[in-house]
Amino acid sequence: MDTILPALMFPALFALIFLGIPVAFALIATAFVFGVVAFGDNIGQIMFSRTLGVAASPVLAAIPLFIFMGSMLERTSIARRLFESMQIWLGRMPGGLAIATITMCGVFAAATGIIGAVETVIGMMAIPPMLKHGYDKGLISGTICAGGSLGTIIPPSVTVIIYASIAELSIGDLFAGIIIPGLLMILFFVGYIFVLGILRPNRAPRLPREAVDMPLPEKLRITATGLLPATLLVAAVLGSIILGIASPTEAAAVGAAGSLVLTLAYREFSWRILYEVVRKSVSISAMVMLIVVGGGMFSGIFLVNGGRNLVADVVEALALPPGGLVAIFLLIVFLFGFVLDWITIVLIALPIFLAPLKAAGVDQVWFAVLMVVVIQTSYMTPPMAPAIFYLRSIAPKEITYGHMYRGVMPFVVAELLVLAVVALFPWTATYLPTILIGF
Amino acid sequence: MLRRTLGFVDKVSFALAAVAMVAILGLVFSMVYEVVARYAFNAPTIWAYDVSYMLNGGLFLLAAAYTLTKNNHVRIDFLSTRLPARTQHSVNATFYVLIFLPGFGTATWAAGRAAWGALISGEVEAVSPWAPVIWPFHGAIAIGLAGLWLQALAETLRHLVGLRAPDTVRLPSVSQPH
Repeated sequence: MDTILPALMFPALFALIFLGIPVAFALIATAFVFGVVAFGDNIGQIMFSRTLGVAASPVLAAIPLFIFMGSMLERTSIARRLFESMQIWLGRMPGGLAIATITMCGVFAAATGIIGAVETVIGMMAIPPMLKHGYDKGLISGTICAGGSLGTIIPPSVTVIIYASIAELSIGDLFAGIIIPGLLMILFFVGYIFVLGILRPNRAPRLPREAVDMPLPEKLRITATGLLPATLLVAAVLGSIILGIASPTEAAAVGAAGSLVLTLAYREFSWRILYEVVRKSVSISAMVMLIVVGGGMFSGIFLVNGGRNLVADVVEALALPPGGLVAIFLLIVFLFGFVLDWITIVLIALPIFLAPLKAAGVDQVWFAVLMVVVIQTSYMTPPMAPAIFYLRSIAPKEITYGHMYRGVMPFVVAELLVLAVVALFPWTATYLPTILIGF
Repeated sequence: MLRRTLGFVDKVSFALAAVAMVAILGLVFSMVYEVVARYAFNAPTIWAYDVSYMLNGGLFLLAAAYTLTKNNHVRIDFLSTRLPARTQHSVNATFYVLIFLPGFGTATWAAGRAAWGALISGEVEAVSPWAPVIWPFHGAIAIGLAGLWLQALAETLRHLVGLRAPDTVRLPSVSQPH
């Protein structure tokens, strides 16, 4: 009997979400309706306590700051400069332009990957030159979607901050944990493009020599002004968190201030831009954090309302070994990823997973990294792939959905390979956190 | 008349967001100040920790109503955009009237009472060595929630107008860029 109510919460939530109600409001409303049944008049107080808990979280205070940093860098010429630096060094390789795009994304996603617009910025910049040099349209689509999705797995990532706050893990540990899998993913993406460029040079040609031909001092100047500042900024922010020099919030503030200094140094600062950046930052922060508030209410009501027992019963009935449990949970996350945004997935799925995972003795950091990889994979897996919808909004008409669906598949396979590597060799996720003392 | 009232609510929401914009700059400044004070002058502040979460908690709630005016709270709209305009408006209006406004209203009411209680008792943050009074923080939360509630009411009225004349108000599925 007491498991009927919680079992109904998910269908109710999904019904509201699919009717087009804002996700945060759907979470709050579902929590309210089912909370009234259980708690009567106290529900207002309970919902307020949840809101207060999120508002008073020192860990989540890093989020608006990382969003500020990302929005600021997005307004500068940093993406164009990064792309240019990567091109002059990598352009002559087979598939050089696509490889330059992926590696540029690795840095740019780290610096700005908190916000969904990365893919748009990268796409508008990298699609025209790739089309011009005769790159295969499927490869172009896959490259942009894959590069744009790196923001989840390359730290600092907002998904990971929210994950850490819910699972009560150290942000530094999780950031350290996703470093090897993140680099591995870039390596697999680049490896695929490189091999394709060798086997099918007409689909992923090298840049002609004249395109990258310039004196060495000029090359070094472009690299020093285009690649170094952003890389140093990201390294400083991440390094200080992972090495325990600064709390994530402090490091994020230093990153935000650094993005401002970089904008000044590039002589691109204006008060107008600062206003636009703070306006956008508070708006995105409100959007993200209100989902965190709603998700907290939803999972809180679910768990105390009998959901804890429901989950325990189901897990017991399945009688799976720890590996099977992990596989089932990841499959659920993958399916959620087709329809939900990643913040919501972490908020409604993770609180349910935590108790069974702890009981089964599954390593927390390992599971976190697997889940982040799965969220990223489902983000660009057809048919329901947000990455493709973003791409559609900026790609020229001559690139069709057919190109996109076909083009992302090799990259989806690369991501599944990373998943397999992390699953089979857990040390790829757990080793770095053990040798780094962080916050 | 209605149009002017709704426009006024939008302005209130923007004013709250403007406070949030100042708060985010304050958040950047105070955290950088703390890092510099700690490492360059070996003089960590006692207030940075409390200030960081209070500014964050205040700023995202104060900006929530403005985010709604821009329709920037994430919606999963691949199904709902296929519904006729009138249906979209009635779904949203029904949701607000029957569930969201009452439900969110109770939470807002609780927040308001907590803020009022903190103000008249002069309660301070118990675990902090700095021991700041907590009413400004609780007040910002209550005002942010109330602002969002008011904006949700304004959106409800817009959807009701949209039921009669779908062309005069924007659809829920159309959001403005950030």
